[in-house]
Amino acid sequence: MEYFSPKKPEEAEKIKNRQGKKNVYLAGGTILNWKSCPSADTLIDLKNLGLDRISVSGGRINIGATVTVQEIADYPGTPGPLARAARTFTGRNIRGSATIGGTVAGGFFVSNLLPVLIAYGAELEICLNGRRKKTGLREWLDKRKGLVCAVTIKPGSRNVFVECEKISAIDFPLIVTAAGFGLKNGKISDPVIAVSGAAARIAVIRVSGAIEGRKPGEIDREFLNESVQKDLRVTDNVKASADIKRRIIKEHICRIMDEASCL
Amino acid sequence: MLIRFRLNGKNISIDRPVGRKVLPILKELGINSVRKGCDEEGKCGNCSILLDGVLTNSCMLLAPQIDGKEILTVEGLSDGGKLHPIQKAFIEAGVVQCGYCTPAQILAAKALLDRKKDPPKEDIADAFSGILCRCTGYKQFYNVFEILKHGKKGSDFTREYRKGYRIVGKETPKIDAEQLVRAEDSFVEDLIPENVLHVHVLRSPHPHAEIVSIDTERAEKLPGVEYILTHKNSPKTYYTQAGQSYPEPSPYDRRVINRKMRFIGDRVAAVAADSPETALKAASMIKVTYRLLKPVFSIDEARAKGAPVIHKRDTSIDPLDIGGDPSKNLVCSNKGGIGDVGKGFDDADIVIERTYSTGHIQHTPMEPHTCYSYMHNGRLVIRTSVQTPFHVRRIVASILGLPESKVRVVKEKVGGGFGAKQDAGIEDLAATLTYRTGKPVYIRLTRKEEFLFTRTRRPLRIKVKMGATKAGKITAISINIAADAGAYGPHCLTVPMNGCSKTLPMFKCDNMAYEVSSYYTNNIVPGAYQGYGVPQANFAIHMTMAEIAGKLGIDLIEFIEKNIVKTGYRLEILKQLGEGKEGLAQKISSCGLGECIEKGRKRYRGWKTGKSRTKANVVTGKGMAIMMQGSGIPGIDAANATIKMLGDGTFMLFVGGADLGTGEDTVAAKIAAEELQIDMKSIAVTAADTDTTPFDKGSYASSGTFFTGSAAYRAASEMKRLIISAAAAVLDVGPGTLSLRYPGAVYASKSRHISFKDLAIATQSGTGCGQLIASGAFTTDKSPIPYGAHFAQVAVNTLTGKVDVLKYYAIQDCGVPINPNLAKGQVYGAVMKTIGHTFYEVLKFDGKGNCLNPNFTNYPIPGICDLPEEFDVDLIEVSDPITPYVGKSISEIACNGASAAIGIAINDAAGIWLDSWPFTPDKIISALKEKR
Ligand SMILES: Cc1cc2nc3c(=O)[nH]c(=O)nc-3n(C[C@H](O)[C@H](O)[C@H](O)COP(=O)(O)OP(=O)(O)OC[C@H]3O[C@@H](n4cnc5c(N)ncnc54)[C@H](O)[C@@H]3O)c2cc1C
Ligand code: FES
Ligand code: FES
Repeated sequence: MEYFSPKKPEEAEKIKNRQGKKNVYLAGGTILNWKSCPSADTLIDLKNLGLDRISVSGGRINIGATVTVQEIADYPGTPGPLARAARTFTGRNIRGSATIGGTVAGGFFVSNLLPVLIAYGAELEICLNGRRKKTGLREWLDKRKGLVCAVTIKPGSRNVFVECEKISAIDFPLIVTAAGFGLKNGKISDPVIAVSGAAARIAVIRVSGAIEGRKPGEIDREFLNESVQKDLRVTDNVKASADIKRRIIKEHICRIMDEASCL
Repeated sequence: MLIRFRLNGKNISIDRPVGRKVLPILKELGINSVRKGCDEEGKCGNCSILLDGVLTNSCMLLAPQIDGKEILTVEGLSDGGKLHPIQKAFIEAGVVQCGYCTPAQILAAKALLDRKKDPPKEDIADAFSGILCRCTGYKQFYNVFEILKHGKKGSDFTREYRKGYRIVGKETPKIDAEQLVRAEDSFVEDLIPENVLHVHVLRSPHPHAEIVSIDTERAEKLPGVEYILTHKNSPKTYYTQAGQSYPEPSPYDRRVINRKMRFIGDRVAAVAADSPETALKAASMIKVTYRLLKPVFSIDEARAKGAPVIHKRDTSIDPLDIGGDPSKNLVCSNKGGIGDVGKGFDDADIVIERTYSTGHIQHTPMEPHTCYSYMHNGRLVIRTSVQTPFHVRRIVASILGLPESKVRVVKEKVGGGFGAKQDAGIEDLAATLTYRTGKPVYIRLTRKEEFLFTRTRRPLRIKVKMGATKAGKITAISINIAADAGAYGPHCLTVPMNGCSKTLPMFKCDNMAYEVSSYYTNNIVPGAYQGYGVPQANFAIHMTMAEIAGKLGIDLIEFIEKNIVKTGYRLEILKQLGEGKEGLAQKISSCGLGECIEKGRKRYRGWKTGKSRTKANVVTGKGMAIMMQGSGIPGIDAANATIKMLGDGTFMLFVGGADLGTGEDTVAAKIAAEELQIDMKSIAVTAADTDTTPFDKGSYASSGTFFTGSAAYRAASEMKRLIISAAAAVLDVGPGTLSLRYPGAVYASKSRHISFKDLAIATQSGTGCGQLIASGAFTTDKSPIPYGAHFAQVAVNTLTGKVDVLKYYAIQDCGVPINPNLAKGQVYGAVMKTIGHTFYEVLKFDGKGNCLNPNFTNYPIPGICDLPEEFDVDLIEVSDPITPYVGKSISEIACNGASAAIGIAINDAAGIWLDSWPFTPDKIISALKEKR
């Protein structure tokens, strides 16, 4: 296996795009090195790309792709829901290695952070075909092309809430539900609910009809829950049935709306 | 690739492949402390290092990820002979049990203290959140910080017991703790030289099949392959792997490798080769053809008329007549009782009959099974992580047709056993391969193999029928336990029998009946597990009892108090409940049950129940359970000890007992030190080596403290007699005038005395009587019974079915707690384990014998963040006349309460009765639906 630790994202991407070989990016390695060592011809270590900083400017928080989940949890400027999601991320041993870039790109079946990032309407800075560009997180998740350089959120623009349920504390979450919306004159705009753990891929549900234009305190939770659940594919897994997962999602929605009512 | 990094302050520069994991690299560099507790799943955290100060799993790092970095492991913490304060605090707090996870936990504490000087509770939990420990129950980790930050001592966390004693009942460090916090060579894996043969076992993909042909020719030709064992060249002896006293109440129903496959994973062939990779490759080259047979996966299928027969009588030999009939898949059966249950039920105002069931639960010791065997001077030496070294010697000698004098078994430190390592589960194979090849062999199971091919808690179906009068007197109890024996029968009788013999004798009921049976199936093989069948049966008995109390409108505690035994009560039922032979009726020599209940009652009464005021859909409830166990098996088991006085008047104690990290060696040393009036530093222990220590049955059946401790006591008493007689000769006085005085001297009067040192010189000199060597043997027809009461408060979410244990209070009567913090640690550990069993720990199968979750990713076990918010253990002191330093047993019993107390609490909260483990959200919701 060949090993590179390039200094620039463009360089990294170039190596990644070398033909005829299986080239992979290595961030924290918690997915890539899970159980065995990765089966790849080339390992492109992202550690020297200088993407390991969190910065705040103009109301935006920019999180470099190799910032770890623990660093996000500890950073004083991390908005509450994101910090909370980071803290409920399994155990400290994993949090200290796992990166936000790996979280976005890793495609893990359940994620603490992705629903929150989606609820914030996060944007990604990526390097694709030798060029840096911005793209929405949700759009990127559909295609998953390019090197993720940073994740940006604008916490002030949206209200975000998150709930997480686990079977045991050291377990991955069973379900993570996050909701995000803007408020115009006290009324909800552009609402999104994101759920991970329901099925293999994260689900993003636009619940405009159910809540858009209403005040958070006026929302009928049953109706909102039904709107979410009807569009949601939920599968059984070894830890719980789809029925239980749906119940948890319902509970999350109720708790989130209780919290939102206090806005 | 060239990698440069600093390891424990030293610059290292090594060449390693890019894809090499850091865990094995560190092992190659002599770092013991990175322990592999899972299959590199990132779940156990036992392999932790501090990487630039960040707690990181070394199994998830590739070589380049440490380039340019600084690594700290516990090997770099202590300064020569001086321990780091954190290492000292771990010992002081009594949290070093088996010690397998300890190095990682120490690093977690260090990383936290480097960030925060006086961390709050949440930060402490968070710091340890990625590291699993199966022994301690985590609670006492908080004490480490009290010691480090507030100068507290171990004795501040517990009261001291036995006024007038210096050592017994007082806090003293566990005698092997220092080697464990330093990660010195301790476990089998620390001892493996480079030239060993590695073993890969080719396993059956079919649950029930016969090997028609097996072709190993190509595999044998692969360079590096040394030997391949199949049914063709396997030793022909039938035996049981069960580590029980001979003759075992378990059928001799297997060879090292059989021709018939009886479960998915049964041994087809074992390849010994110069590397694990070669062994694996060779195994994949073996060609096998099978004749498939119809499998059976449940007790009902196994006992159905015309069911496929899994063993024949001639392949399931019964040395004891345990009541089996292999032609009906029946491995064993037994029944009996006292009084007339029919009449008892007739006399009752209420009779309830219920059936409960439990599944396969794995012990998950953090150290998987490991064994290293080699030949030395024509003898077979087995260094292994096992609970029963003497039984293993007997079993292995019999398999290979050797005299026991040709086999030596040494128990190394055991990284958690809990019953999983009671059997000769891998030693039989390692020994055979070494004996055949003459070469050293190393077997280390993967976590997946540990889950599937060692042992599990036994799935039981328990039918309880109980009758009571309106006034709350139990008039009759009958219990019927049907057990799934899996493919082979180790402990098939003992487990269900214990389900009866450690539950029924809690009640002074004149009419009691029991019936047990075990059936062969094509499932994985269960065995012994801390508590044997008692946690399951105690759950069943309590749920039935609570339902009756509820129906009668009697408070459960009152109902229990009306029916329980007290000191002096004669337990006739125990005569019936033997293990493969008649048992021994006995009078209860001491019973702290009433006191345990009383102590818990006060706190319990204050716990609120009902609808949560803050959380929608949440209701709280509370429940309690009582429990008993034994202390070893009277009339069957035995222990021995020897003490030698050394040249300076200090002592060496030799015990055959197998300390599993529970502190058995420390207990034996403390008892001997108390008796001999010496300090703990004046006595050292060698244990569990069949060559150098006397016979002991091993560690199981809650026998460690009582049996091994009593053997140590007898040896020390005998040593005392020898000392007095030798001193009498030296001082020229009558022995009757002499007594031992602390620290280590014999006194006739103030002016006429001799120190042990001078006595040693005198006795060991050319004119002396010779070295003082004393032995003590312990067998008994009694077993002091430990008791306990556990109390739980839970919150049930009626929407999601999720239950949280909010409060848990355990009170135990373990006689005299010899090492109080360690004893409490046993209870915390047992409770946390069984909280896991109650809620989520169970192996799931696809109906065709394939397991769906044999890994920590899909079979979670409790971590520190799962601790109930209020969680306490108290030990009461109970004097028992059986021995002067009576320690009754402690650890197994503490497994018997959680699911019962929690099950009753769930009923109190939500009005549902759960009848099977684990109490998953799905079961809770379905019970709630049914109730509506
Ligand atoms: C024991 C354990 C517990 C876990 N618990 C949780 C949990 O509680 N919650 C949760 O959400 N997740 C959990 N995870 C999964 C988690 O999402 C990942 O572990 C982590 O976030 C991945 O980050 P990483 O830096 O380690 O990625 P890596 O393993 O290094 O990489 C993962 C994948 O992403 C690619 N990649 C990495 N960085 C980039 C980038 N910048 N641009 C493009 N591609 C990239 C890699 O090539 C690889 O394919 C857990 C995993 C384990 C092993
Ligand atoms: S071996 Fe590394 S986490 Fe288990
Ligand atoms: S002491 Fe933690 S696993 Fe044994």
